[in-house]
Amino acid sequence: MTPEFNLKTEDADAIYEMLVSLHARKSLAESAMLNSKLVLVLSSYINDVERLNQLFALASAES
Amino acid sequence: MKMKAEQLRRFNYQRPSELDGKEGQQWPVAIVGAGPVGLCAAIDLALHGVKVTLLDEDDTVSPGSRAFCWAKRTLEILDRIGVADRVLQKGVTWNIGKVFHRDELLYSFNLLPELGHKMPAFVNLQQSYLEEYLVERAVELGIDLRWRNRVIGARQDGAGVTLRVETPDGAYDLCSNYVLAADGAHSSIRRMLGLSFEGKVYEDRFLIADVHMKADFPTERWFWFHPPFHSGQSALLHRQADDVWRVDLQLGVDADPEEERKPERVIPRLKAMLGEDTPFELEWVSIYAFQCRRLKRFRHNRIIFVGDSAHQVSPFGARGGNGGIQDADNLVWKVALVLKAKASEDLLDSYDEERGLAADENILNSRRSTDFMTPKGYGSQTLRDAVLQLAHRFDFAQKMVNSGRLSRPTPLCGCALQTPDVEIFKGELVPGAPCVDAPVQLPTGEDSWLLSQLGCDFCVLVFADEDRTELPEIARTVQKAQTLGISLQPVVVCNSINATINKLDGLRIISDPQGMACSRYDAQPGTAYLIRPDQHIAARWRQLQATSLMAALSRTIGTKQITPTHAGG
Repeated sequence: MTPEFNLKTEDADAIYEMLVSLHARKSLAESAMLNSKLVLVLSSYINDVERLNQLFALASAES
Repeated sequence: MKMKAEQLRRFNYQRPSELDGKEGQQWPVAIVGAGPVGLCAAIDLALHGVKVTLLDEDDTVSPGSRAFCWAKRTLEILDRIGVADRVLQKGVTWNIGKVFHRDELLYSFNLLPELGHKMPAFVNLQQSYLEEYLVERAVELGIDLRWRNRVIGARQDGAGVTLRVETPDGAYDLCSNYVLAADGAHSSIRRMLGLSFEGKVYEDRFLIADVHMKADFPTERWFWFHPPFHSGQSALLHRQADDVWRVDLQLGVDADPEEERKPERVIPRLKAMLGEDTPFELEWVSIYAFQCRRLKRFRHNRIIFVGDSAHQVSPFGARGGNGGIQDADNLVWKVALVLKAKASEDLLDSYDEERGLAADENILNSRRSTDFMTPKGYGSQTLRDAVLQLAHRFDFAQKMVNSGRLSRPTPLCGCALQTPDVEIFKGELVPGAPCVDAPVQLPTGEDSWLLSQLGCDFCVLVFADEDRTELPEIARTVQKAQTLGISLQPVVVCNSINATINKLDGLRIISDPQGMACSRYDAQPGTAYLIRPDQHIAARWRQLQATSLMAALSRTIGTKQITPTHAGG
């Protein structure tokens, strides 16, 4: 079962902007570290192994 | 590069009579800048019966396309002031946008899937044509147009503004009660007043070109990220009138603007995009950098800034020209009421509040688009490219792809002039929102549009019941409200009409044969909307009553205290 996303454009823009500002003025290593921490925080919050398994598959599939 | 400057429409300079020692009159309003915004303001003021003079340092229309993408709300304003028909006729109507990543279509969008609106989502028409039509409309209305009149000084006191104006025959003073500064992004009036223009300036350079070609690209907005013909950057293609196509190409931060505008640089870039064998002619080229800035306050006593002089945005989203014309729409009726002593000067501060809100929204959207298109640093570059990769397969990532969020009117919700709802309504037409259109029928049986019935004054739109028993009561209520001295046009929407009730007690009666007006306004029998001259909703009720109507009307002309503006933060 594919997960459903119900993102509104305004919220997508706001989320994207927040992420960009988190990365502002960061080096490559700092940004990579930040990304890893973001994944860990969000995964722990979602706290649903089955669901995360599906989401990780989406993100890591070759496009 | 003004390649076609010799073909630009030119207007006649006339020696101002002030230079011959005649005592100049005090104008109610002087407008500086005859671009689309200044011209719209002048025409609208004339329609409100205000005498206006319009000064421009030049004597031609704008070269090249510049602003060319006119949004539905702007077209509705242009319709109200009497030029939309020509714009629709000459311009190119489009509703579909497509976004490409490399050589693959990511997704497409349709901006106006709903029927029953007079105006389409967007019409592309070069600024020069719009200016030409607006000038002709201004001439028709007898507006005083002063070409090659350059403002070189401005001072104001409690009684008015004195502009020092330079012409080919010498300089003179021009006095007016109010000045609207519509003199563009490089506003000289803003500079004369020493006002700072705060915000973000981007370093990326963009090339914009008008290209004449016979091509079979569809009439759609096409945007590319990483196009195969323009490696690593972005590109935009739009069709305009006369087989002229507008091309925007991102050049990056290192581009040299002087070099990049040379035809020997531009033409190979365009050939790569349009095809080696596609014959085209380059009509106009410009190089620009993005800016997202605004004045903290738009009103400075008797000098009021409108359009690009007040705020500047990046162009992907068509928020500059459209936002500017909506400024004029918002301001003009207020200035007219103040000049006619129907409202106190404080009403003008509501322009600052309301259009400040709109400017902030436009800047927010254009800043986000720009940040998406020109990512800086490893983190945001990777994020952007990840979104593009995911967008090939996932809808949620397509939502994040930002090729410009196209201009939409800003609802003026929560602003001081609007009366908040006390009853329950469905839908988006909250107080502060612009009215939406719907097909209606006139008593003659002629098909028309709801927005065309609203006119240039305040309007009370009432939905009647089946047997129309309440019509005399509606007429009495409106007459009572008219004792406030503000022009108020009652428009009654019935299910059906016949000739006998055509002109009852000054009511304008229309019918809603398809029921679209009724459903869009979530109307029940008795539902009433108070609509401002700029077609924004001031208040609404389930039943019209004289006391609440009069209170809302007083509030919307600023009789109630205006709360301090939050704009400019």
